[in-house]
Amino acid sequence: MTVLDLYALAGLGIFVLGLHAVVVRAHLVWKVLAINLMGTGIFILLLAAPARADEAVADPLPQAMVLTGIVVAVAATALALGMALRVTARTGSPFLSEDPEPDHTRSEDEAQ
Amino acid sequence: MSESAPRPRLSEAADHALLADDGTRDGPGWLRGLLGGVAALVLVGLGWALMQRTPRSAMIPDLIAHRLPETGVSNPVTGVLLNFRSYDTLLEVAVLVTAMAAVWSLDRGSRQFGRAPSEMSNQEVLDALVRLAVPVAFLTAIYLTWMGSSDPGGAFQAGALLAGAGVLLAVSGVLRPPTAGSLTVRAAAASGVAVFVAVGVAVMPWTGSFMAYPEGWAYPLILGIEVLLTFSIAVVLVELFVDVPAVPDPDPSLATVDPLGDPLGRALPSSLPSEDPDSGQEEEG
Amino acid sequence: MTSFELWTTVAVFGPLMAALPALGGRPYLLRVGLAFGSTSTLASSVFLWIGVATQGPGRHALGGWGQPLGIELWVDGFAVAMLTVTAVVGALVSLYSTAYFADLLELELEESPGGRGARHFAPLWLLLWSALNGIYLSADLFNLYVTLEILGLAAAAVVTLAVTRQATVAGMRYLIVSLTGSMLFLLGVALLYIEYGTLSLEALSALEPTGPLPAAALAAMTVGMAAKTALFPLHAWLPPAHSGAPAPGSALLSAVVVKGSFFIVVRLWFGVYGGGSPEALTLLGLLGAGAIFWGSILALRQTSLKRLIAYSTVAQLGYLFVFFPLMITESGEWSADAWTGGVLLALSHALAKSAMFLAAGNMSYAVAKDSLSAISGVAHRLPMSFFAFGIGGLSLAGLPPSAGFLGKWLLLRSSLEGGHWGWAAVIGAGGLLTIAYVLLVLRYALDRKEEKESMRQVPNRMEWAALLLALGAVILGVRAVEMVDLLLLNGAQPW
Repeated sequence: MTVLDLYALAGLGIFVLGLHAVVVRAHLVWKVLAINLMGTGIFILLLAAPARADEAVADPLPQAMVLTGIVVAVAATALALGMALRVTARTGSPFLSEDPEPDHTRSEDEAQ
Repeated sequence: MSESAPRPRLSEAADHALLADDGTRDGPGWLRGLLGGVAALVLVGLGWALMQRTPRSAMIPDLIAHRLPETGVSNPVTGVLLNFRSYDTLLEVAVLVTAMAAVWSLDRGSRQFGRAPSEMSNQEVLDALVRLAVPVAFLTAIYLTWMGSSDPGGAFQAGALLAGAGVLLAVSGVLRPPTAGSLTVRAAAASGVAVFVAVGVAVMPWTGSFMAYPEGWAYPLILGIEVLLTFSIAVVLVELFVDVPAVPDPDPSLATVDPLGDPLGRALPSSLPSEDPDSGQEEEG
Repeated sequence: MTSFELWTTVAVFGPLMAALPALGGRPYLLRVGLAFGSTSTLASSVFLWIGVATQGPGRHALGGWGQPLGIELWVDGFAVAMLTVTAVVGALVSLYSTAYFADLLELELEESPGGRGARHFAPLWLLLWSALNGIYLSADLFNLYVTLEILGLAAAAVVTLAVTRQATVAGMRYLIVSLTGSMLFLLGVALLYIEYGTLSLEALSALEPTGPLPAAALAAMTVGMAAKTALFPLHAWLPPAHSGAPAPGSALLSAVVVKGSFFIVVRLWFGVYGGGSPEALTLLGLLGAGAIFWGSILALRQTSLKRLIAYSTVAQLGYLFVFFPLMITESGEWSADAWTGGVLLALSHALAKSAMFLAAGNMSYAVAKDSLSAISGVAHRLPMSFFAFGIGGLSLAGLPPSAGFLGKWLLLRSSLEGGHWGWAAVIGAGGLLTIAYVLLVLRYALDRKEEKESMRQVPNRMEWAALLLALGAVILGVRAVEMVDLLLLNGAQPW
């Protein structure tokens, strides 16, 4: 088990941590942070784990993938935070609430 | 967030509410524990699977090294980003533009950012920082774009640096948003994608494939695209930061929108012409 | 420059370039953008279809670099089929949207709370369209990830265009689910690169991925795509999001956006991995069956028209996963019936569901309300929309002569030939449930007791768009020969 393997496993760990957090946490900003964590974990994994033909030469393709991934993550985070602000403005709370208009059953509707 | 840092218009209560989270809303403890256990198992499984990978010699780094001279640049990562896989880079800029269009669509006329310079208590510090940092950022960005062909650097890094300078200008009141309505801003933001696609299409009659640069043209075309991209990316990133909805929502008309009604919030006009069923309808085919 | 190279470029970059002027926001710019996007996608579908039918599958090596060094676009029957139906649905919904948002655009925008959303639909939809076409044509894993992100961001923003609180929360939830799904997909991409050192779909399928790491990658990618396609039990985000969006947005979301992630699942399972283990395929089928029953039963309980249609989407997407276990026959070959049936169901659902959402949009537009009880008597005022809804429902339920019938029949045939009585029963029962909720809506629309005195005039364009889409589902059913030939180009191989 090399040092790179440890980094790769750490990347996986960070990913799983983020996945757990996005499911469990109810606060919108924490969910967005968790998604970013997932991305970061994958980036670490991509930089640490791929095979190397020659130890001195780093594989440029994962580096390019990570660069692109970072930009995509920035864009997604920007939209997610903007939407979170919109949700907070409309509902008064930054927590992802249950569907505000729960499904009525028709018997309730007809009884009115 | 410190008290004196500029922020979108917020009341004190909303400010605290935005980030306050004591975890009580996250659901029952046993469920969180269960999900945590599941997560741990997933991690162990993934980790084990990772350790089972078959050692293989890497094919792509060799290919890249072999064909890098044809790309017109000497930095392999830039070669991948702007030549071998330039399509992905183009789409990446499109992601930025999409995010910007999406953030603009959240517009309900309620965004306000920054305060007038006279309102800021630490305006002198900000002014000094602007005078120091912004010119350095500009110079470094130009340097990064230029050097991107041979050293780590390039349009995205330079664009991000420029965007940082732009955000600083916005925060200190030099740049006065909202800017989304400005035609110049929209044109600047769209120009990166537009030029990238235009170049890609323009080379097709010569070389056949999209974005296949002709012999000897690769370096100048890449440099030209990178320069325009830097500027365009900076504009998009600043827009993403600056044009955000405000909290709380000062648009009072939204409070009366019926959640189950017309999704576009249209109120039924009080006097609709009563319809004569025999007129104005299409004949059934 | 070959025909494939030209028209794949037009297919992806036509809508993308059209989106740029549409960002300007002026009404005529929006119309120009939508028109340009529609013509470029329709034209490229026609020419790519001709190309594939005459020369077989083709490719476009972007930048002149072939795989695995560069990214390639791959055109086969499946891609062309999805491209074409998306183009037809997209063009008609674009037409619809110009009228739907028209009064808001011409009003002083500040007056109506929804007005400011009106000018953002066109650029977001065009970017989304470009991404969808990019997904259908892509032959590279990381490229799929980037295009998926464009799709996800634009689609979530389309949901939030509606001003209501429900739409805002639903859009946020959709965005979070979508981003999580993309991250799971990216994990799979990373794991596959780690194992095989390539991102090219063609190279990977030639390497025949097996082993723990590729299996983990497939699992991660499938869970991510299942979340984006709202496969049971990850479907909860869909009904509020699809019903909360403005009507043209709902039509596009249910008809084509969810098909993008579905397309990727099919490409992965049958193209790259060459079919999964029977257990895994059966699991997908069972989840699909769960979706059919859960979605249909909940649809029957709704009081809101658009919610009902959205739950119907959940149910219909279940069918798309029921075909997975039917794909591999006893003798280990691909089942042509299951393949054509499954894809035809996806295509017919796109046409029928968009027709139904547009028709529902017309009905709500007329009465300015979304609940079922409010649309009483609408059938008599808006016969075209009522008819469109009915035909769409007919296709969904699998009644002849619609394409939905053809798809279901092919699936039934393949399940009966394979001795899978269980799946046959599921398909049949699902059809009955669909008829039930379609009739429910029709009943309300026909009922004159509660009829409102005054209804708003619905623009002709909107009614025609709904009707043409519904008729499209029938035309596809009647003239399915060319489509089936297209899909069977490689001899029933999905790759």
